[in-house]
Amino acid sequence: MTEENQLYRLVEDGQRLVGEEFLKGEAKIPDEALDEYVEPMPSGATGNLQTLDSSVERILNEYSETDTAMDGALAEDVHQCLDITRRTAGDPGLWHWIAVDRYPDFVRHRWEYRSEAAMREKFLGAGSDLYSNAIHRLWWIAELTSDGDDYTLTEQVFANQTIVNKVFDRWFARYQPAVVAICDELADERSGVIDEATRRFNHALTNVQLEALSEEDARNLTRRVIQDVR
Amino acid sequence: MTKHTQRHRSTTLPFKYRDGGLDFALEEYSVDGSKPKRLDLKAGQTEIDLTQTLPSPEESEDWGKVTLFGRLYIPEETVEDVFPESERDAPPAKLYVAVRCHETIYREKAIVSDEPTGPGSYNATVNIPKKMVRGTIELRPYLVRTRDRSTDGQYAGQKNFRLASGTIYSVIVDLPPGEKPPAIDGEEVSFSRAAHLPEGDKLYYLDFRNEKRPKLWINSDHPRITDILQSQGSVGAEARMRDVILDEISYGVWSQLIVRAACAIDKDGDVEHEWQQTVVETFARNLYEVDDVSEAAHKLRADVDDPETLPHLMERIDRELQEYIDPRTQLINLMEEGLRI
Repeated sequence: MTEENQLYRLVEDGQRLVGEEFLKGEAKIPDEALDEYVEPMPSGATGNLQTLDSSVERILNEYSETDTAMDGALAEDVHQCLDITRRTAGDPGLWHWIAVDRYPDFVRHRWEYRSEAAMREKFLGAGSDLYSNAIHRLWWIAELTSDGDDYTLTEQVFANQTIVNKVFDRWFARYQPAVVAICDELADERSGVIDEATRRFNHALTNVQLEALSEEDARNLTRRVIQDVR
Repeated sequence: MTKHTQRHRSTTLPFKYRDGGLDFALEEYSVDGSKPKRLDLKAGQTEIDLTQTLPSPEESEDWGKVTLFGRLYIPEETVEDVFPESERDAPPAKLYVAVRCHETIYREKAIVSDEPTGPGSYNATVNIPKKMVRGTIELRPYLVRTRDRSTDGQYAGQKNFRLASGTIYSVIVDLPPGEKPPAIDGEEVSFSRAAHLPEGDKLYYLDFRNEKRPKLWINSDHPRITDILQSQGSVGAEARMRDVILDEISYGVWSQLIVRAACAIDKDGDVEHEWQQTVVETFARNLYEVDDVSEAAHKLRADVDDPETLPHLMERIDRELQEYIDPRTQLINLMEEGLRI
């Protein structure tokens, strides 16, 4: 394993290097300044960063700015190249390093600068908020929707931004059998149905205990909800 | 209404549900299949801190899985309350413990009993794989229906509807980022019931019977204080009071630890135990405003031995601890909270 495959983390104090000019893409953070706040992942986690570098480069060349299609085009590579455990993925510092130090151009290419707070979230979000950090969200959505090396559902999800927005911003998206069932059942539905069905599914969890559901149970519940919505 | 019925109150769900209708008690834990050890939780304790028990990644044998063992008890009254009479002989329900880790977006369950699940006691075993968790894991038992039924509106009528739940346990497997393990162990106990602890209304006692590993005892005879010490929040009056109480205890504890460590420094400037080394490394250089730990350790040893320099050393320790603990900040926070500034 070559040294460039070592994964790093940006320590919390390093977040102060991320100013408005950097977020706008008007300034870079000098390597020597970043180096002071970057440390190897404690678990010694590694990733295939050369391959991921190539994938990101390809996305930057092939997709126009803010094109949502780049999410689906990159998610599988992010997940496969960063073949890490959930324990490792739960460290926000890893995603901060990847966004700030490794792939800041991708973050700015994918997300238009609308406000400092919104852009800061794309670089320095992470943790249990699935919809924050620009690269963390690709990894987690792939983690929750892939089946081994099969990323069919991941591709379906990213092909429909309404699903990404309506499913992964909700707490039931933390339970994999429910995520798989609801994403699969809603994949071909129109936005209005997805919007209302996810709202009703969430509401049903007032009575239904989420972890009680098998994937089949979640699928049946989703189908009932979709039928009611149509 | 009695306290008992209040504890088992139904929620606002549109059917009968018992929020505290399951008795859940964790008793033992095992690391990677080793012989189970007792948790020795106190009455009402729901936080299980394994951070000092689990091997750290730096150690040669890292852990891979923690298993928790306990008992889940379903009282007759819970079954009578959440099932119609016709179902009580063989309740169509399953019992499990939900396992949730916020930081790793992990939600799973450990099945305890499949349908039928009636009143009685059940063994509960919960596995926590390291690669899926970090920080704190929450364990909560649930009893849920396993079949649909035509409902009269009084009882839950659909599969997977929740019927009862119980105590939530928090299992801590990692310290928060940046937080180091405590230099000494701490435990709450009733001083009035423990022969080896001081009499009277003492708040705490630093126990050096085991010089290698001192232990801080907090007197649980003062429940108003110990309740505050257990509060978890970071804002509000309780949190402010907790921080002030901790500062108060810290001052006394550090004073003793510094003097004890100073007395243990040998002629080469070395100490025997890890906690003594931590104390010397943390404070000695600041006490004498020198950069070299060994030089500072020698000065400390000399001062603690000499009746003429000892009072000056105590003054230095007092000044250093006021800097280190910074009690002013927490006191101002508490005053502002009290005055609502």
